[in-house]
Amino acid sequence: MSVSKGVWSKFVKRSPTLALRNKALRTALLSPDLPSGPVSLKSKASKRKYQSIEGLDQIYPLAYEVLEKRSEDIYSKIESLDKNSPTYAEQKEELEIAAEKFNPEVVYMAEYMKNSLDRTQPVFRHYLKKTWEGYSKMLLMQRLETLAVIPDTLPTLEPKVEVKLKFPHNNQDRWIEPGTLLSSNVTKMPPSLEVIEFKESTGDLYTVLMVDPDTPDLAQDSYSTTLLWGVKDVKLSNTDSMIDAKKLMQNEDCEFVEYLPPVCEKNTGKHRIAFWVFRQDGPLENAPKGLRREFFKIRQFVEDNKLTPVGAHVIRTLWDRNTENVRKMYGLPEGRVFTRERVPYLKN
Amino acid sequence: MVFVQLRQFSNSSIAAGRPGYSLVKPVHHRVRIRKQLLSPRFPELKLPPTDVRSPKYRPFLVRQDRVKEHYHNTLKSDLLLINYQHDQKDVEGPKRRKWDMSSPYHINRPLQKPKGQIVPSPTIRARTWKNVPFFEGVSINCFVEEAKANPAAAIAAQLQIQQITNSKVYPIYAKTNVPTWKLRPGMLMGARTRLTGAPAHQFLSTLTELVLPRARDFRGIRNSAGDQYGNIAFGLSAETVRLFPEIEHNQDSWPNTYGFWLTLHTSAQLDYEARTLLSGLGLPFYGNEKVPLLLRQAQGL
Amino acid sequence: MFGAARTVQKSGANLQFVRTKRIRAGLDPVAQRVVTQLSVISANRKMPKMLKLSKEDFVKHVTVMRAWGVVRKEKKQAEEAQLKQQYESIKEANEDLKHVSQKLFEAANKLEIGKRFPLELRVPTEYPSRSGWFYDYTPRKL
Repeated sequence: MSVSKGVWSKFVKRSPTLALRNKALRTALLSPDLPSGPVSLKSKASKRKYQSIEGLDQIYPLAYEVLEKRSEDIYSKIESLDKNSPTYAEQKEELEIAAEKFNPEVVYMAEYMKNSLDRTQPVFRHYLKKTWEGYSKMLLMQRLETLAVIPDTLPTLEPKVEVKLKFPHNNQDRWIEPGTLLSSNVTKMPPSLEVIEFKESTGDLYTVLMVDPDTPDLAQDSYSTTLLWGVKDVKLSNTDSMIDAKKLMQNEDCEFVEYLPPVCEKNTGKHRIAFWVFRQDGPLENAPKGLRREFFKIRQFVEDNKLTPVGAHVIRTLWDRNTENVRKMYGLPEGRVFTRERVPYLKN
Repeated sequence: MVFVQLRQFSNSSIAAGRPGYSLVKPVHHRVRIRKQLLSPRFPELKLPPTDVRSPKYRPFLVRQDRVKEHYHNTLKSDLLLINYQHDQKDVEGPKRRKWDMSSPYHINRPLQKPKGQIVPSPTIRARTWKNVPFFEGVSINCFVEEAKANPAAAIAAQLQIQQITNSKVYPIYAKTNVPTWKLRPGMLMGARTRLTGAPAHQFLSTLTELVLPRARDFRGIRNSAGDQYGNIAFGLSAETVRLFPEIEHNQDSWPNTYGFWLTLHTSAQLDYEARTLLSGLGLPFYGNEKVPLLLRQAQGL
Repeated sequence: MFGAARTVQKSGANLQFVRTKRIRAGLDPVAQRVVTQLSVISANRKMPKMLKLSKEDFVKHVTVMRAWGVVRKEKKQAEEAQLKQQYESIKEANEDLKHVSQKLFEAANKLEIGKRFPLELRVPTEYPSRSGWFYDYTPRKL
């Protein structure tokens, strides 16, 4: 017997992705008690031992009814919105979130199935955004600040999208935490990035810059920024958010500066490698193919192309014993070895 | 001569070779970072206390609250009507006063005391449907004199308060040194607790339905009691405390009982409003009632 | 909702919840009394057991709490709306009265210091007394 008698079990106007695909789980959430025991528990012993909360089976159908009724009211409010109003899209999205936010199936998916959510649904984007704000966003900003990526590359960042990064190394499918120190072996191939938008996005264009602000500049007795990788006009949407080799192969114009792995020279310390993701207003014009990598002026570039930074990522690398191999792979000359300069002793 | 306060970067520290500005490292973004959420330790402590999985979770509103329902169904609208005054204006309470800056020593000096008072009084806001007075809670303060000679009495008093209120009690220690009373600072002297919400309502209904109607020495709360700002205090004798059901039904375990002071906290802005509210909750009052000082001052009486 | 209080388990002997029963050798009855009283006051061993819910039950619990929140909020809003309406009516009536009769207006707006609810007013109970309502009552003089 299903507790749902209204909108939450109808999929004419609602997306079928708002329902749980696992049938046993779905029945468990749509019945007052647990008809086939606790499905989510794995071991048989814990299934047998498990006791549900007393009285929950009586109160749950009532609670479901209250929330479903509320959702129905909100859906009818969406119908009555003025479609010509300039804020129509915003209002609609807000109401759609409110209508589905408390749906037990949605809550279950948002809590326990974070990796397979349908990002075209506003309610799932809302839950993803909350999760992001609770951890990844703060972690990224903390790392950008402590590593001084802001203001060394760009003055500041107001993060709008989540940027996930991984390298095709060792067949390990693992997202890299911002600020991790990686070996040159890991970074030898171009990375894949996932850019997760929390607003509705159907075909926005994005630019990605990978820069190393720690290249030694001996003439100035300072450091300069090197552009390691430049990608432009990548079309992303809520359903397709990956920037990877496959996507770049399809459209070769995207990569305006080809990938060069960070090959640090010996004794130059840890290099910060910053990834900046920009949302474009239109196609990028001032980004010619084969742009000069050395002495790259990132602020100038951003200003010329009217880009808005929406996300970033940072990793660190160091000279290691594999760096020379990577240099050979990319046909680069042998790297310099820096040594401490002996300063003549100054009297007084 | 009037001095004008100017805030500016220090000139002397620049002359001394130090930076004339704050040395706090600037932050280049506007995202608020909650460090405890970034730590990988104790994941369950990162959950909000309203989450059942959090160890801090406490079930709340688990049973019906008669007093609360009575207040919302019966008293609230009556109180709105009783306290209504047409064209009511906010009555500004005496506040701390600015110095007139006639002396250079007035710069950065703490503000002057309010006229005729030591601490400022709150402004009395005009009554609307948004600030109908309500009962906030009770604090109980049990100071046991015999604990001077026998510290075990203070522990017994703590236990007594815990039994009749069903809440966590905190000890009271003597603060002052009174040689004639043989009182020294730091002596354990009794117990205190503060009840709010449902436990406070439960305590109040026990008090008004079981204890006070049978108390012989209790005439009611004196109309002169109160701290001017809507909190009313009265005392219960050791005899009356025996009437609490927790003690009455277990007389053998209680050779001694201890009287205590109760403060009934309300959100009323003046005492007379608090009395009207408390009378609706079943507390009797007696004696003469005066027009409060703040109102008299406001009306120029 | 919570499990039973933990009992002290020792190898071999199964001790009960011994707070008041254990007798310590060497303590006189008065001191023992104080020790017992202190152990009752202390929060030790009073922590309720944590609930362990399956994922489905957690979601159901959250649903119930949210629905309850929605119901409570609606109730509160209705009450506030009613109070506001009452306030507006009082205000309107007073405004009228001010123009109709100054004397009545002043009487209506006298500061009601000393106003009391009748002492016979009771907080309603689920099971009121059998004798029912006492209709011929006259207010008692205090």
